Amino acid sequence: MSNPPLQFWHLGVGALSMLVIGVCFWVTRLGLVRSMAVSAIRMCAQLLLLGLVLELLFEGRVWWWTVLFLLVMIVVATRESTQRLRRRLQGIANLVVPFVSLLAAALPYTALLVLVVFRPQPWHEPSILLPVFGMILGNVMNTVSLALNQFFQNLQSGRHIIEQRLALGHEIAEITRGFRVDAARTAMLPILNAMAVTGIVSLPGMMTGQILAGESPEQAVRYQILIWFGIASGAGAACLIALHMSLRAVTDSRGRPTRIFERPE
Amino acid sequence: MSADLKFSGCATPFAGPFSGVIRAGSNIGLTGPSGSGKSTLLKCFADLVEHQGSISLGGRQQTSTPAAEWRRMVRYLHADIVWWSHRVSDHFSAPGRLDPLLDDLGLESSILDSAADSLSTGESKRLGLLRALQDSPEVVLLDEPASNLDGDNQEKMLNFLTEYHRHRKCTMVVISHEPAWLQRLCHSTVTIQSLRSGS
Repeated sequence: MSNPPLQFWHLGVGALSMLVIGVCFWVTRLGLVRSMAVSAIRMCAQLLLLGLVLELLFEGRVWWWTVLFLLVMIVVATRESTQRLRRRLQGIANLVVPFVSLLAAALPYTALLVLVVFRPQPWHEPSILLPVFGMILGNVMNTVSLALNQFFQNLQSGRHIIEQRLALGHEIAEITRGFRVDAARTAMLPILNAMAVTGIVSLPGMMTGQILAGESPEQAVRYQILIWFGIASGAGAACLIALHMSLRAVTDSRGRPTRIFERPE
Repeated sequence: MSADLKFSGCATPFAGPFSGVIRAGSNIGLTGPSGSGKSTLLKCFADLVEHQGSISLGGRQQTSTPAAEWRRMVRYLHADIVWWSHRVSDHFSAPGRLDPLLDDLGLESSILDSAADSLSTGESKRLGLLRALQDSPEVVLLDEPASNLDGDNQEKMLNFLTEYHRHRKCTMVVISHEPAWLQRLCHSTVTIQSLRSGS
């Protein structure tokens, strides 16, 4: 079975539904209309541009083009993961912590899936490498963002507890253990929920795409299970790394909190 | 037995520099207007704020002693007490041994079983003191220990601290805005006009 090619007016039908919702929000004064419009326009522009870039990458199959594109994805994810936090790290740590967490978590699991399972020829086949990396990176980015947001909020709301427990001779790692547990739970919850209901409440995008493209459901399910393990492992690793690094970044050599509380503009 | 607490060239972005020696076993009162830097000074001693200069206890330098170990020797008690576990007793390593001390401070032993968020300000204050003293620090730095206490409990606090200091022979520095109370508790009182930088 092959699907009919999409025309631009097909996309217009989708946009119309969004427009209707936007008008409803505007009439009921719920706000968010501007954010909805900006996000929708940005999404269209980015995906259309991505389509063009992917066409080039898929045709060229030059390894360093693919690697460069992966790097761009990580840099953008780094920026986005801290963009909407209520509180941020100060200075370069605000970029280093998410960058290292994303890189150290997303890259190994992508490499594992691509090189061990998919085994494309050549190894940098962009039509395999980029979608797999994108699926893992997108989820890992959300996890890092949620973990940091919750952890910094916990540090802020618990700053008096931290200082009083430090004064009693407690170690900062011990004092903040509860804060990190809470942050990890918040960060991992969306992925754990999604895994728990996948196949019952929701059909994952990759699996749906494969079935629509004519793949057998049984094979599509196997690929999806593999991807879920990659996403969950990557998210868990990123969460651990981000929380460990951010604790180091917000305390000085004597364990005193120093740089937690910069409020974003 | 405690040792001399020496400090030299101590300064934070907001206070100092200040230098001096607090003799082992002494009991000093610290008074002065709000915002003069008294709490900051004590927090420097307790290694709770980043500062320049050097602080030592006996022969041990603050910076070369592990932070947690230093803070177990030099204990700062905040003016406002906070609790992190649900039950009061969870904050004490040996709650069973506290009964006589609780009585000295006018508290029932059953208070240890109560929820921390149900404590009144005065109860919290007195229990916070016991929490700070439970592992017998060498230097005790108390920030307004009698504030928010009624007259009767201020008196109990005074007697408790006097007995504690006499019995343990620790070094004690106490901040208070009540000179009369402070003079009865401490051997000597220092009035600080301002430790703020540039003053």
